[in-house]
Amino acid sequence: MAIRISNDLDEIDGVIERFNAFAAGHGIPDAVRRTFDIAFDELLNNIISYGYAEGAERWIAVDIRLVGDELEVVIVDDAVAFDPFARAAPDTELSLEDRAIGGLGIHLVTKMMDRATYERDDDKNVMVIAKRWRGAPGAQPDLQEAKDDAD
Amino acid sequence: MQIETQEKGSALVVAISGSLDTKTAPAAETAIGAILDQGRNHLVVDFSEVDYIASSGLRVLLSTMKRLKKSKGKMFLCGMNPTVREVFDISGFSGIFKILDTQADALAAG
Repeated sequence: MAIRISNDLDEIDGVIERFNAFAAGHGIPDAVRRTFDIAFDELLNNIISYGYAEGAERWIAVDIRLVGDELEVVIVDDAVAFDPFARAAPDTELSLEDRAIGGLGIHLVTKMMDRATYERDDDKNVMVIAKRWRGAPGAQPDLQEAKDDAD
Repeated sequence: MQIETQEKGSALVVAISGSLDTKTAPAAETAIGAILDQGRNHLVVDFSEVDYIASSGLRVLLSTMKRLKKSKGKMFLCGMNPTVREVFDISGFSGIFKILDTQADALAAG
């Protein structure tokens, strides 16, 4: 499923809603679906909030696909070059008072996904996140698959 | 995201439903802030109807905890689904919050 959104924070909900419908149609377990919901919130907010000069309307492509036993999402944007996964993990052992919260969202994504990669492709940022879903706890038979194959 | 409150003995049960993410965190912060403004200092936050929580949601709980520490208050969290619990574990928040399985456990702990 290919989704294209503008760099508007209000667009993020729509991505999550469409992804959730896709997940329900393909029997993706809730535990896996929720992980991607979190990743969309963290990654798209980062891109839209920090990646663009003010006022410029740009486009972000979100491609959602099932590859083998994995659910894979590719996010492509033309924001400023930035590798979110290169950031150092936050110190989660610090006390409440000493804790700086920045970077925590990306840390969640990298820990919860099986794969999270970044590459700069010419003037584009390409992020790929993936997680095994088939055989995961709560997985259902893929009801949508036969229909998709017929399309 | 919705928040409902209920008195249970000395505790105020704060039941959150929906998702706690970038979009909903400001409303959650406002609602819980209003509860603290009323001087409540024993909260049981029930996550039974929370689908998922992102870092912005964690931030709300962290600021709530910081305010409660100043007022010598206490807060217990309960009812987390495995994904919500995983987020707390990965972030290290499980070590700084008191997390119980059920609301009954959380009320008994306070």
